[in-house]
Amino acid sequence: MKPITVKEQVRLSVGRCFGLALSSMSYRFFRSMVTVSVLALAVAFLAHMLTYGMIEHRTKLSAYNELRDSRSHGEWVMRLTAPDPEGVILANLALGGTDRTAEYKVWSGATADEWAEAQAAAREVEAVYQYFQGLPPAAQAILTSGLEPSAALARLARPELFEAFQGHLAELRLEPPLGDIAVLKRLVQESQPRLAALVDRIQAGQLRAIGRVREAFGGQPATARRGEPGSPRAILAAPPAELVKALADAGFHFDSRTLDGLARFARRDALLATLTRGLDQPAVKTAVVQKIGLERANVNTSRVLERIDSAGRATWLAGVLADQPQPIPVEATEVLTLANDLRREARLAQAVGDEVPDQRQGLLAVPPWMQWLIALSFLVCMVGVANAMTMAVTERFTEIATMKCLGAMNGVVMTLFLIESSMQGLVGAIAGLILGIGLALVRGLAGYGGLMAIPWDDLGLGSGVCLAAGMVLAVVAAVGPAWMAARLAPMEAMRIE
Amino acid sequence: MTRNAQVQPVAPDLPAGQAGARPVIIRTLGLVKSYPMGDKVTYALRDVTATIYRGEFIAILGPSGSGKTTFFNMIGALDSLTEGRVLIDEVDVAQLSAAELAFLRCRKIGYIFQSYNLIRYMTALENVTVPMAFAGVAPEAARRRGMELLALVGLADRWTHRPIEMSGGQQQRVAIARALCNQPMVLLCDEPTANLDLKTGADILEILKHLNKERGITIVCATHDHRLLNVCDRMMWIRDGRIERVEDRANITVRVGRIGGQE
Repeated sequence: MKPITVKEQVRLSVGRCFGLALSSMSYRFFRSMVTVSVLALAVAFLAHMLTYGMIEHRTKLSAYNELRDSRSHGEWVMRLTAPDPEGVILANLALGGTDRTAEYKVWSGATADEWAEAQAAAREVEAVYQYFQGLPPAAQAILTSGLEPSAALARLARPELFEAFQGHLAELRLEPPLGDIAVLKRLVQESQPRLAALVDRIQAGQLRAIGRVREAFGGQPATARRGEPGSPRAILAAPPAELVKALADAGFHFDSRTLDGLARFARRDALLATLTRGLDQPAVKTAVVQKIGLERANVNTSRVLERIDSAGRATWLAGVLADQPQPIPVEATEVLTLANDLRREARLAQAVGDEVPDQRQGLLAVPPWMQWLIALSFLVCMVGVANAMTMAVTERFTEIATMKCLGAMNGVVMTLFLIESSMQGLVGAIAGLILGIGLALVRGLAGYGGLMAIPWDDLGLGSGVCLAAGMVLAVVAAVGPAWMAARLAPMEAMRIE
Repeated sequence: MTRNAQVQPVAPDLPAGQAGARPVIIRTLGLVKSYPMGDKVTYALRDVTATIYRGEFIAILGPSGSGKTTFFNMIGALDSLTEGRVLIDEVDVAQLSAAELAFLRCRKIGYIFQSYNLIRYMTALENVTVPMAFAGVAPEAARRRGMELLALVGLADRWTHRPIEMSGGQQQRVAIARALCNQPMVLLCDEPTANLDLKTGADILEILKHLNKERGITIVCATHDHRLLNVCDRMMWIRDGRIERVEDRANITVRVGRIGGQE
């Protein structure tokens, strides 16, 4: 009689396992689709939050950067009108190494020692400001007497007020600013007056520089008003070469890209001034009221330009201005371009909102609240995927036990589940990605329209993250329980249910 | 027994395996299976020592909860045991590696369960071919052999049906076909007719009897069904986890009552 010969069970090739897994999946196609759909939804949620966060950030960032020329022009108008405020000067001194510090050093005429001391003092002053701002409101009110930090610090130069301040500190049991009362005392009594004097010198120097620039363009040093020669806007509208020379002579620092933007912006500014002058004339006002239907009191440049939205209207306006007894020549195309630019800038400004967007790009540049949302959606995605896969596997414990009764090796069972879960994970993650990104694009389009900027590079990275999250989690969540069942004796696995 | 020498030694305390008598295929020695229940221990089997001979048809009888199924799982190497040994053709199951156990379950033992345990999303034919897939049989050969076996159990025209579309008797016949697909030497049946009506149960028993007589497959059949007594060679009664008695069929007169006019 034939004996029972026990050998090792054959090990199936990966190809055979793959075939088995595929047929198993096709047999349970409907159930697989349910699992895949849940996976897809979970991944879609994550992909949507991630993608929308990045689209929103990139849109705001590019809108903000597109508005840079406009901001830079405004800033230069300010700088050519009056010296920088004390706060700006102190902040730049404390920071050191900016374009502005170089200007300040020239204008103040400070020696190297003076300069180093001023920088150290500025850093201390900034530290004291931060100390004040970091206090609880009640303590802040007591220590600053409700004044701005700069004023509060300046007051401490008077000995009796300094003593009172010390008393308050002792009562409140607070560490003194700068960690040491002696250091603070030296700052308010010695360094700070010298720093204030230096700031005054810088401001005086900048005022002289402004005067030189104005004179270079034939204006009165201090009195040029808007539209007159020598006014900041007129200066910025000057030919770039002259502007560069005059600014450099006076000690201003700038980069060439800023200048390009300035020139473009200044031309626009000049056109705006011309239009304003034209629209002030009663006859033009009347024509505008009749044609566009604005109330007479509301006829001003911005209101009228809002309504110049076609070549026809631009031509009409140019015609009206040219028809006046003293003709005001403007190009219709330029007016239309200006109107379009202004409309776009208004939309850009609306898109940017109040926050200054982080200049970095990528997943981590989105604002903190968005990061929280993304982290939360990651958690939701994890739970969703893990739950779907765990459910799908635990309901198959009997099947695992049966397969083991029929001679399946643990390795085969695990390979089957590995293949199946990774394919489900892949399909689910891809479907989820398409769904999530699609929704984010639609939402972005609805919110920002043509301004929407799509961060393709970051989108790739984000998709990778979602894909990996979906797949890895699906595999881990499936293989864990499968292993739990497979390593048991068949009947033990069957009893788990 | 051809197996590596290192696992060969059978402990000297084993009773000499009925030398000279009929060849033994499965032996159990002092089999104990207990489940811890809180601080108490529940015994499913207490010290069961039994012998099953080659080529015989043995029925294991006993009331529900007597330990029949546990005994069945033990001798089929499907469950862990608390104490004792199971020797299949004089090889201790505990000494087999995972791969050898899988080989044993796949090709040497066929299992038939009370609840059929078909894989519910597969068709009849696919269910029959599963063990052949694990044995590494080429898919085409497996399909051919699967169809032969389905024809043997009378289901050739139902090979595309899924378990849910078949009656209990048909499912059990698929399970028998599946158990036979790798030509096992032992067929273990756990209450194969319990969920079936009388007529279908009789059909199943007819198939089992045929397999035992024509193919010489050893059949171990845990059952309530007294019709089985007409078919089997020996009977073993289990009660409260112990073997109550073992009798040859020849020594027993069985009177089968009539139920519902059939039989």
